[in-house]
Amino acid sequence: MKKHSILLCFVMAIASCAGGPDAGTITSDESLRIFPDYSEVLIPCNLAPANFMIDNEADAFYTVLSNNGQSVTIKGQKVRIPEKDWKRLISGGDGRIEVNVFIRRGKEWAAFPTFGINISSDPIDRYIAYRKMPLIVQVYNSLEMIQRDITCFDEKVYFSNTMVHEKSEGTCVNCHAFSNYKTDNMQFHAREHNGGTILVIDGALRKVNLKTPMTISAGVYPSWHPTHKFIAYSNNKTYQEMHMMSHDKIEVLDQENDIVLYDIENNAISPIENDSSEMECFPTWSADGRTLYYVSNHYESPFDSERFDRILNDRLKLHFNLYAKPFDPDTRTWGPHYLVYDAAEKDSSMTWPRESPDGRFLMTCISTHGIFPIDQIASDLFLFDFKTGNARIIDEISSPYAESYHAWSSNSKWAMWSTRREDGTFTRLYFSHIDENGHFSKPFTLPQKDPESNRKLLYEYNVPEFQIEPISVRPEDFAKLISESDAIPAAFESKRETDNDGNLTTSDYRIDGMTGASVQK
Amino acid sequence: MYHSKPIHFKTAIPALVIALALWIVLTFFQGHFLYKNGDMSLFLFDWDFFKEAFSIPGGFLGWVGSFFSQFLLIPWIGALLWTLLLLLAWWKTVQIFKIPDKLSALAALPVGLLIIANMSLGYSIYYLQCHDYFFAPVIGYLLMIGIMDATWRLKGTAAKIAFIFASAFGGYCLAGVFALAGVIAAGIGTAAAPDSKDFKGHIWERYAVSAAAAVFCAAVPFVLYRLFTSFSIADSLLMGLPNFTILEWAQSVRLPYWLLFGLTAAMAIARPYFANAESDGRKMALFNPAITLAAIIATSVFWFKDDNFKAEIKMSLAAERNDWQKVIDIFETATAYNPDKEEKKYKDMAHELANANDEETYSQIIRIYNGKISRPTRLMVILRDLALLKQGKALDKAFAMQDGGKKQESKFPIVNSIEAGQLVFFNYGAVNIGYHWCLENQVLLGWSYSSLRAMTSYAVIMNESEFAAKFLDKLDKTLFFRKWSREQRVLANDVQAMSSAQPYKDILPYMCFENRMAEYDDGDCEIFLVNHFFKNRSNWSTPEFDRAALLWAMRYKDSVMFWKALAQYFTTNNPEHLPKHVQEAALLFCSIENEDLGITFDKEVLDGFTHFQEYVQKYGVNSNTIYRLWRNFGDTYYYYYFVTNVYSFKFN
Repeated sequence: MKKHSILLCFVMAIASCAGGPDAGTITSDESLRIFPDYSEVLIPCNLAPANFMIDNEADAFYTVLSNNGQSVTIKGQKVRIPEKDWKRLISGGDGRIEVNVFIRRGKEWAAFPTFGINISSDPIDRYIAYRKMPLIVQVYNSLEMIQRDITCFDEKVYFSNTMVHEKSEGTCVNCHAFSNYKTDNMQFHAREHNGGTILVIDGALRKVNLKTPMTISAGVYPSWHPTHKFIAYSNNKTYQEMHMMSHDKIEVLDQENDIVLYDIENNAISPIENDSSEMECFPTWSADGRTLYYVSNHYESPFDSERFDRILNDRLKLHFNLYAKPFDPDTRTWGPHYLVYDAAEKDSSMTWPRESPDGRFLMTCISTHGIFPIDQIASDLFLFDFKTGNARIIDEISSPYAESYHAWSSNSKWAMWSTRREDGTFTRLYFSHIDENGHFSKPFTLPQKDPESNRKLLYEYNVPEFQIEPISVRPEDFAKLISESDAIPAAFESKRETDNDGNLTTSDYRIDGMTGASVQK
Repeated sequence: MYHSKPIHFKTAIPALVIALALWIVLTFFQGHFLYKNGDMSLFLFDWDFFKEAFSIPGGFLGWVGSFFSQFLLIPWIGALLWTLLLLLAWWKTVQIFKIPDKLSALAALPVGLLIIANMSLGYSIYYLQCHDYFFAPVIGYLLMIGIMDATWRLKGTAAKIAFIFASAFGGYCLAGVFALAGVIAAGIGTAAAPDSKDFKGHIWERYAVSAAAAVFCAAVPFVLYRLFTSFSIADSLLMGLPNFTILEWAQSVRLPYWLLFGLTAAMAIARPYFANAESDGRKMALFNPAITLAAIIATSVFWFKDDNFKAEIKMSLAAERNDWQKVIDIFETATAYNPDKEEKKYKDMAHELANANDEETYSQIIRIYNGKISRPTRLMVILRDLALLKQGKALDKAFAMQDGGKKQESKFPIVNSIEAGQLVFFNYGAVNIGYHWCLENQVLLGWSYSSLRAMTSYAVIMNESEFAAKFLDKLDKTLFFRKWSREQRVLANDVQAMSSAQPYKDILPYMCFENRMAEYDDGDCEIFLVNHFFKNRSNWSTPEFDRAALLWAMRYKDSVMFWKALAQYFTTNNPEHLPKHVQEAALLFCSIENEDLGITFDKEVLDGFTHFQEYVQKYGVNSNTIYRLWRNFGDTYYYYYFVTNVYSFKFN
C-alpha cells in the first residue's frame, strides 16, 4: 500500500508538471471503464501498444503509464501510446506497466485506482492472418484475407476477392491454413467463379480442384501435416437456415461430411473416414503428425431429398464426439479410429480440435449441438491437458457469447480465438496466455491503433491463424492464378488402412483426375 | 493567353428557366424518389468514413457525392443542389468548349444525359451498389471538363504532359474513369486543334501530349491495380461509375455515361470550329431551340414514370414512419383508376380473346393486358394489408380495395424481400427474417441510413443493446438521424420504455411464437408470411397475430386454414360481431363444403352472396363479364376468391 502511495505521489508530481492533475486531486468513487479492457491482463513482451479509451464521462483525461523507471503520459480520452514509448515500457521483457488514469470534471481532478498491464517474457508469433468481412448470411461481397504484424499495427491485405470479380461473377475466399506457422507452404480456397484451392508449395503457386467423382465436395476445413506434404480436409455439404426467434440468428448445418487426405506431391485425394452413418469433420494433426483428430456425429438417415429436412428437425440432437486415428506418414497408412471424448453423452457437441505444438494441450469448441459454433451463443472453449489428464471448459476465458475458431502460437504459450463477446454479433480476436498449470490468463483483444476501431467496425474477423513470417506472394499473383488458371483436377486414391493387428485391409488404386482412368497399384 | 468564354445573361436565361422548371418538377413530383435515393445513401462525419473513400479508385468522388446525397432527405434542398450543379455543368461546358451563343444549347446535351442517368433509374435503385449515385456523376463530369480546361490552359508541352500524368494517376484514384475520360478528351482536343490559339506548339508536340494521355490512361489501371486490392483488372474501366448487382442492368444504366464521354470527346474535337460558327449566325437561328427541345423530349422519354413505383416508395416511407393511415391513403389514391378507361381495356381484351385461335395467342393477349390494365403491385397490396391490420380494419376492408399482382415496370424481376423485406417482416414480428434481408442488402449494396436504422430496430426489439449500439454510433455521425439515434439509444437500454414506444409496441404482439427454423420463401414476402402464420404455430397467441393469421388464410384461399384460423380468432379476439370479409369467407366455404356451422350472417352479406351466385350462374365468369363482375362485387371476398386469381396471382 505504501509502495502504491509513493508511486501515486510520483505520478502526481509528473502530472502536475504537465498541466494534469494537481495536489487537490481526489480519489474517484466510481469505477474506471476502459475499452478494450487491458486491466490486469498478461500480454506478450513483443505486442503492439495496448491502446485503450476511457469510457467514463469527463472534461479532460490524463493517463500515466510507468514501468522500469520509464513513464509515458497521454492526454485525452483515447490513450494511444507511441510505439517508441511503448517499447521502452515493455523493454524489460517481464514485469508490469502501472497505469494511472485521472479525469477532470469542471476544475476537479479525480484519480482512479492504479491498474496494471502485466508483461510475459513469452513472446507471441509476430504475424497473424485472418479474414475480414461484413456480416454475411448468404450473399458475400468484399472478403479480405489479411496478415497483421501484431508487434505493431501494420496490416496487409494479402488477397481480396474484389481483385477477381468479373462483371457480376464473384468469388468467395476462405479457410486459409499454413504449414508449421510458415508462409512458403500455405493454402486457401476460392469458391464459385474461377474456383479452386490455392496452394503455395515451397513458394510456388498451384490451383487445384479437390472435388473428385468419389468425394462429396472439394476440400473444406484444412490441416497441414507437420512433417510431410499432406493436407487433411473435411468434405462438407453445408447449408444454412435462419432462426425465427433467437439471438442465434443463423443455423449452419452439414448434410454430409467425410474427411480426406490430400497428397500434395501426388496431387491425389484419398479417403480417411467416409462412413455413411457418420458425419466426420474438422480433421487436425497432432503435433508429431502421427495422429489425426477429428469430430464425428453418428447419424443414420437415407441420402434422399428429405435428408436435409430431417437433419434440420434433428439439429438439436446433432452431437459431435472427438475421435483420433493413428497415421504413419511414411507409408501413408491409417490405423483404426478410437473415441477420445464422448460429448454426446453430455448432450454437447465438440468441434474444431487443435493440438498445441508442444503436444500437451488440445483445445476444442464445445456447444449444445451442431457443427458451427460461431453462430451459437452457447459455444465455449474446451481444453484437454494430456499431462494431467484434465478435460474442462475453459471458464476463465469464456464469455456470455460465442467463442469459436482458435489457434495456438508456435511456442504453445498463447491461444488466439474469435469471440463475439463485445456485442454478441461481430467476431473479434482475443488472446490469452497459458501457464504451466494449464491455466489461462485474462483475455485481451488484438491491439488497434485507434482503440475505438473495433467498436466502430461493421466488419468481423474470422479464421485467425499465427505465422512467424510475412506472406511473400503478392496479391496480384494470387489474383492472376485465380483468374487465369484452370484448377488442376486432383486424382483419387484408395485409403491404406490397417486393422488392430496391423494387417492392411484395403487395396491400392488410383483414378486419374484428368483422364478418369483407374489404375491398380 | 487562354481565356474562358464569357457568357451573356441573355444566353443564360433559357438555361435558368429550364433549371427552375427542373427544380419544381423534382421537388413537387419526385420528392419521394429523391428521398428514397437519399435514404439509400450514407455519409458519416467520421474520419474513418473519409479514409475508407480512398480504398478504391473513384472513392473520393463517391465521398463527395455521398455528402451531397444526404440532402436528398430534404428533397427541395437536394433538388436545388443537384439543379445548381447541373446549371454549373452547363455553364462550364459553354465556357470550356467556347461554345458560341448561337450554339449554346449544345451544352444541354451532357446535362440531359446526366439527368437521364438519374431519372431513368426506376426499380434499378434497389440493385444500385453506390451511395453517391445522384451527385457523383455531375461532380465527376465537372472534374472531367476541369481536367480538359486545365490541360488546355497550361503552357508548354512538358507542363501539359506533367499535368496529364498527375490527372491520370491522381485523378483515377480520386474520381475513377471520369478522370481518365477527361485526360483522353484533353489529349484528343489537343491533337485536333491545329488552329488553336491556346497551343502554338509544333504538331509533334501536340501529338506528344495526346500520346502521353493515351499511354498514361492505358497504364493507370495496371499500375494502380498493384496498389489497390479493391478492384479487378476486368472492372478497372468501371471505377467511379455506378455498379449494379444485376449486370445487364448496369450495362443499360451506364449507357448515358458512355455517351457522355463520347460527346465530350467529340466536343473537344469540335472546339476549334465553334469559333467559326459564331460568325455564321443566321444559319443557326433555330439551332438552340431545336436542340433544347430535343434534349427536353429525350429527357422526358427516358424519365422513369410509373405510378406503382411511386406508390410503393411513398407507402414504404409512410410505413417506416408508422403512419398507417397515410399508407392506405396513398394506396387508394394510386388505385383510383378511371372506370371508363378500365372498362374499355377489359372490353378490348375480351374482343381480342374472342378472336384468339389458339392457346398461345390467348396467353399472349392475357399477358399484354396484364400490363395494360391498371392494378396495384403485390408489394402495394402487402403494405396496404399491413396498414389495415395495424389499424384493425383488415378483416372488413382488405378485399374491398383494389387487388391483383401487376408486374413491376422493370426489365428484371424485382424480389419484394429485397425491395421491402426489412420493413414488412419487421412489422409482422419476423424480426430475424427482416435482419436476414437487411444484411443481404447491405452486403450487396453497402450500409445506408435505411439499413442502419433497420438493424437498430431489430436489435432494440430483441433487447440486444450492445448490438444496437454499433449502429447507433454510426447514426450519431449523420446529419439527419442524430435525434432518432438518441431516442433509440434510450429504448435500447430500457425494455419497458421500448415496449410502450412505437413502432415496437405494435410489433411485439406479432412476436408470439417459439423459435423455429424459418421456412423457405425464395425472396417472396407473401410465401413466407403464409407459411409463417400456419406452420409450427405456438400454443400461445395474441389477438393481433390471429387477425393476421385469419387474413392470410383468406388470402391463401384455403378453407382448412381458414376454419382453424377462425377458431383461433374466436379464442383470442372474442368478437361480438364478425367482420364483413370473415362472414363472406365463412359463407363461401360453408356453401362450397355444404356445411352449416350455425354462424349468424348479416343480411347484407347473405343478400350479396345470393346476388353474386345468381349473377355468376346467369353470365358466368369470363373475359366478357369480368369487368361488370368487378364493378358489382369487387369489394367482396368471394370476388377475390373466384376472380382475382384469373390475373397472374401467385397463389394459383
